[in-house]
Amino acid sequence: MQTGDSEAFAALYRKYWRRLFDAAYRRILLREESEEIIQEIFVDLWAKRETLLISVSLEAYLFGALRYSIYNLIRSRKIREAYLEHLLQVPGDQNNYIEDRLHYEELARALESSVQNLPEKLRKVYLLSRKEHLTYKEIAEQEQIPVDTVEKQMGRALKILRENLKEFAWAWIALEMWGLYP
Amino acid sequence: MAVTAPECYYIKSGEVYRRMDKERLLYLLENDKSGQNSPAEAEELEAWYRSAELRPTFTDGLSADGLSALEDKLFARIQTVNAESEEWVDELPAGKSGWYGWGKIAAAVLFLIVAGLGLYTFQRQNGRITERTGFGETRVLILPDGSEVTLNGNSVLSYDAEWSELREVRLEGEGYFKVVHTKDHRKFRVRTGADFSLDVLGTQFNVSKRESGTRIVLDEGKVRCNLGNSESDTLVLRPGEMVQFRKKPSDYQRERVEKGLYSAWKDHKLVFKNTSLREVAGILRDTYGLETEASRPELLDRQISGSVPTDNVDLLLQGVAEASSVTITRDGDLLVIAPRSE
Repeated sequence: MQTGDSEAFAALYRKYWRRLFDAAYRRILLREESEEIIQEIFVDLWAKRETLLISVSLEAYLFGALRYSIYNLIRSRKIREAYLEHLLQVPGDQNNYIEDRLHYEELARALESSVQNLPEKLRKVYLLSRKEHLTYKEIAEQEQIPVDTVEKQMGRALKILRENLKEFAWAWIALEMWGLYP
Repeated sequence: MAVTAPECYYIKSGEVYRRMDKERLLYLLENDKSGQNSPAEAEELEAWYRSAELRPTFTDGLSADGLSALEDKLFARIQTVNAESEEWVDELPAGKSGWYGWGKIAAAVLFLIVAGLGLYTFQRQNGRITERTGFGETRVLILPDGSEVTLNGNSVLSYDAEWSELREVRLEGEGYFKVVHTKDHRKFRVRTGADFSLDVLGTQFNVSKRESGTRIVLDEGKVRCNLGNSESDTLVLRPGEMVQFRKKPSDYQRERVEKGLYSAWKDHKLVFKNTSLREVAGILRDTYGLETEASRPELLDRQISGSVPTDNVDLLLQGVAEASSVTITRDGDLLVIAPRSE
């Protein structure tokens, strides 16, 4: 990680994101804030990758950072007081869970159906990039088309998907990124 | 502040947990921050933190597609911010780091008189609201959209009485902004000059435009600085970052700073960390209208660390004098710094 390897970073993310997210969500029962906290932890980790000296295990470091972020969030009063009251009163509130899980299911569904509705060529390029994790160059070779055609098609596909997924706010960025990191 | 919570317990999965109440939790968290929790209090906070493990796991209830939607969305957010920060690292012109230290710049302008000419040009326009603070005065303003601005001393904030699509304010001096996000995602812009403005979407940050230069410190959220008129001349700040420049925005310098250090004034204190008396003199001039002279120039190189109250200028000066082992004599608006005679 210390050499700034983005693959190692992605691997770390895959290894820890879920447990971190669950740990955050359990404590604040807020989807967006949980996302933000996890984002900050990893962005921070990446920013410090060359200078960070971790004297404990990486796991302990990440969960320590998580606790720090949660404490800060509550201290900063960004959580409305009434909500905090509610949070502390109800040990096993399921309402938020159901609603928030639905959000991700809807996001997944909306993405899936948008992809299905893409024009054939665009869909193929998109799926090769997204699902098979091929680079533009690899797609070009496999499909026997120039690389810049792949790029153009990918760009068009992303534009359409972005348009369709507008109401998911951050989703469009996700799509952008798949383009940047094919 | 001692808050006693009602003793209240509940039992789940055979364990007894003490119910936490809001005041108690905030009290424990404040203490935790300053390291003042007793061992028992620390254990109480720890127990609260652990008690959440009783709640179900969020992601277990997601379908495989929902799970990967969340995983991808989150990773994309992270990569987006990472990519932005890499961009600006690349953009930073090499060799620019030469003028480190606000202090050096402040030294060059220490004896300039604050020229208020710029202020009047926009104050006279019709349909504009102008708020100004006197030397040493801080004031909290609520803008029409609910955003909050704490104006430091000797500062002017102005804005159109009726905002169009863009929420734009103009600042001379120093202000701490808490910008609220509007439902229709309207941009909030702070302009400090024809060639510099910054755009925000819901965030907290400190902007200071003084004779000695312009400085932006971001505490939370995200702001984009517009360094010129071209669309591409922008840089995106992350929390804990500071950007400053003397005259030309394009000659900016960017660094990470301790959160709160530059905005402590809004809580009626000034926090110094290896800050030279020269820099302190700059603050005293900008915010309090006090000019400083030193009996020996090298006295201004002395550095101080610590915090002083700002509600009372004399106490502030006393604190600074203590910390740097000098005497400060005040004669109206003129301060004279001299070595302490042993």
